[in-house]
Amino acid sequence: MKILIIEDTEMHMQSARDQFMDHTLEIVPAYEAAEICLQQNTYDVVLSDLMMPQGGNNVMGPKGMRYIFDLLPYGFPLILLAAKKNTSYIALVTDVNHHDHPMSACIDPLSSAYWNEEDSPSSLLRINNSRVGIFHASFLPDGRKDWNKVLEVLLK
Amino acid sequence: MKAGLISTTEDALMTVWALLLRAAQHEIRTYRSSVFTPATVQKDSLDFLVFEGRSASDDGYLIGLARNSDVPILYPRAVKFFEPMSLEDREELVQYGHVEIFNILDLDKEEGLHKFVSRLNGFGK
Repeated sequence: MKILIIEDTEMHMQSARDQFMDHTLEIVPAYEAAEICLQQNTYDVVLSDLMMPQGGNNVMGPKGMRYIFDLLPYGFPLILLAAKKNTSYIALVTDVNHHDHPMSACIDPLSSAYWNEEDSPSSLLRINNSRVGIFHASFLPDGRKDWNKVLEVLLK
Repeated sequence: MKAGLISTTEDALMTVWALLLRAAQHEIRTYRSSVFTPATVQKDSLDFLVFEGRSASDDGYLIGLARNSDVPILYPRAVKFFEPMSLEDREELVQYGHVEIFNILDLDKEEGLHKFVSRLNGFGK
């Protein structure tokens, strides 16, 4: 499958490289690059982090530029853009604890307060022709995101 | 010391800043503003940043840098190119002790450029 990972943390990028070796994988670290990828290419799967720095600054005026490096929840517009492009399987996957950021806490009612293998399939949404999941991450023993677990849920 | 020189455009004026930095015996890495991130400071072991201002958007970008990076930031603001900094931006930047603004290309009085060159020469010494 052709998979796009949108992730700014190196160790989570590496876990994607390790786990998806048998797939065609593309990894981008920020919103602007991700938007370009989604506009220009098609993917079977898009998996995105929630909080990222460095939004697009092509259209930013002076007021907008102030926020250009802030950690913001770019994951949400990116998964919606992926759905607009009819990507078959999409997930937003955050490693931020729901006690540590209000945007992470917003995910609790959408799926659960932590990765829950039993309940995750029932929390999937259908947007356009896409299956979409919004999750707190499952982690490998070394603390890296377990992207495979998310893909398994999407494909069930 | 190692300087990160950031600019929105790549032209003769950027070359001047690079020359001034080299004349002051600093090592330089140059970056376009569209690709620079605060993480680059640690990744490339930068001791300070020089960001050239030529538009109101650059003033906003400076605030974004100041909010997300704590290394010294020198901002030579080319006043000839655009309007004075807004009051809102000036009030915000006052909070950031690591940001120094130099009004340059003010053809009536080039104190800003002299101060900027002196600062570069004195950095890390």
